[in-house]
Amino acid sequence: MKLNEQALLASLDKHREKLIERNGGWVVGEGVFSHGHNLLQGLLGSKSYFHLLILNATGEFPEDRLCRWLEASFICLSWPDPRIWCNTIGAYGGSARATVLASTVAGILGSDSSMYGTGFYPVLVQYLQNLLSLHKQGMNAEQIVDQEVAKTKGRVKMLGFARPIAKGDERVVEMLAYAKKLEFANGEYMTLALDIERCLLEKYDESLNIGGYIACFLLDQNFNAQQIYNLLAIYVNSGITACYQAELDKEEGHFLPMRCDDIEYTGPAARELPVKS
Amino acid sequence: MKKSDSERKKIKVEFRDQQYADKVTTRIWQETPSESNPYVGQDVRVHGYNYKDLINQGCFSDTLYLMLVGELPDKSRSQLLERALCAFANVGPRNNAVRAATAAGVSRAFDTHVLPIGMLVMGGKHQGCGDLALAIQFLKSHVDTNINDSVADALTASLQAIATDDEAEPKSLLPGFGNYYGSYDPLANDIAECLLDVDGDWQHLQWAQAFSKQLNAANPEWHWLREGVFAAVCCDLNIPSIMAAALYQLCHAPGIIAHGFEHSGSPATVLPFVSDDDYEIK
Repeated sequence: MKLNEQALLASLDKHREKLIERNGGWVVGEGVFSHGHNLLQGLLGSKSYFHLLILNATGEFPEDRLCRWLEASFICLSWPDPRIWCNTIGAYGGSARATVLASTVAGILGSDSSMYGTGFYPVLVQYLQNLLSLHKQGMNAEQIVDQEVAKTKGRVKMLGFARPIAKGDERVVEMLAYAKKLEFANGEYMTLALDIERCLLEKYDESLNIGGYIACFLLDQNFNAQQIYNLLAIYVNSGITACYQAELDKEEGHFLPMRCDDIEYTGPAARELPVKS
Repeated sequence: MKKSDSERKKIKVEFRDQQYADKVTTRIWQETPSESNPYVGQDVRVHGYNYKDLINQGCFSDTLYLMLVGELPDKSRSQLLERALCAFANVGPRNNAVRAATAAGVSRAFDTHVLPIGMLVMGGKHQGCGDLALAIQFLKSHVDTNINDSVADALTASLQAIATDDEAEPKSLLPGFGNYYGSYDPLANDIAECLLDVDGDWQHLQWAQAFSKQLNAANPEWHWLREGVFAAVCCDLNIPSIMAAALYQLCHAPGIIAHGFEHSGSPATVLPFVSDDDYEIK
């Protein structure tokens, strides 16, 4: 057995039947703790759920205004509109009479997507970090836009900018104003993003989207990609539940019901099974 | 700051001029409405074949292949898929996905949730299908290359990664190959041998086996993993790579179901519970 294999087995054995070096947990008879904070006799009644969410997701105890900002961002991402894909899933769950948990979790999983939603953030964060790196190497916003748009044959496919379904993003307007009210200054990521947006608006009529805004804001707060992914893991949940409940209030199977001829068959013509040899 | 956000240009929000489909289309399922109710289908065909004929004359693995690929498998592919479905039906009760399902079953999660819980965890990269698409990509891009060169490249890359303290684990450089807990996986080899025993031209399985042997000769801790074997099967069966992870999850469903419900009628004490003495908070 090689040394590194022995070390690995020793490490595994150290964890067998034991839970060690935990960030928190329930000490029976004493309390429940997270990163040194007593949940029931410290946070409960004095802090919000978003304090705990940030603490659990990042290990850092947040200032109050960050919790208010994050809560506002959750409002931006939980729309009770079943046309949005993750909400569609929740609505199908309601229509099918699945449980609220199955439907909401299914919808949240749908948002773990490479096209939009939470699943998009790890890639988005890396992309924004690359853009800032280019900027620090001397490229200005216009040069960055020209370079990135050239990569996609003249179409704006810069992550964090533009948006499916609609042009423009009303949520960014509101969140920028709210962050200002909370006295958050724009950091280097947000400053660059807004500079890039100015170029995109001028040349392509495209702008910063809510995902780009949130990622830039949280990067400016020094969170890393995994922490950001953790923070936003369930941020679409309430909109999904709303869409689930809306279908539960109707007769079952009434969410965009389909007649047989609402589906267009495009496959092979009728054929016989081959005779087995 | 060059300009404050108060100077941000006012942005008009409007629908994009995009053409969405008028209708859902499918190449898979054809049905005609019943005479009395347009929402009830009958005379179903799957990729052109009468569904009743498939039920009566086909088998699960052939029907599965038809759904995924669009054509029925030839005899050798049919046998390979059948054997793969058997080979990957269970990973045993120590796997994280199976343990998740077991925890759900014991804690009386609703019966409809136990399988999806296990399948979701099976989507992970550690002893799951999280890197399956990468494994397929690796095989497809190397199947025509010289094995000695590929092994040398792989080992050089892994040593470089270790030397540069790359965050990526060495095994992730070679998706589908590597080790479990520091040692190669004998069961993966057994499974591969059983699959290669099926008559057929299994280009990817054969290349991967030869590659794995060379890799193991260069580093005895490394061989192919079960995910790598499965990736080679998908390549040789022409399963679209986008579907491979889902097929991997489906294949493991029997084990997840069996273990997940094995103790479901028992009290929660049927599983160990870590005592306070063995629970350490930093």
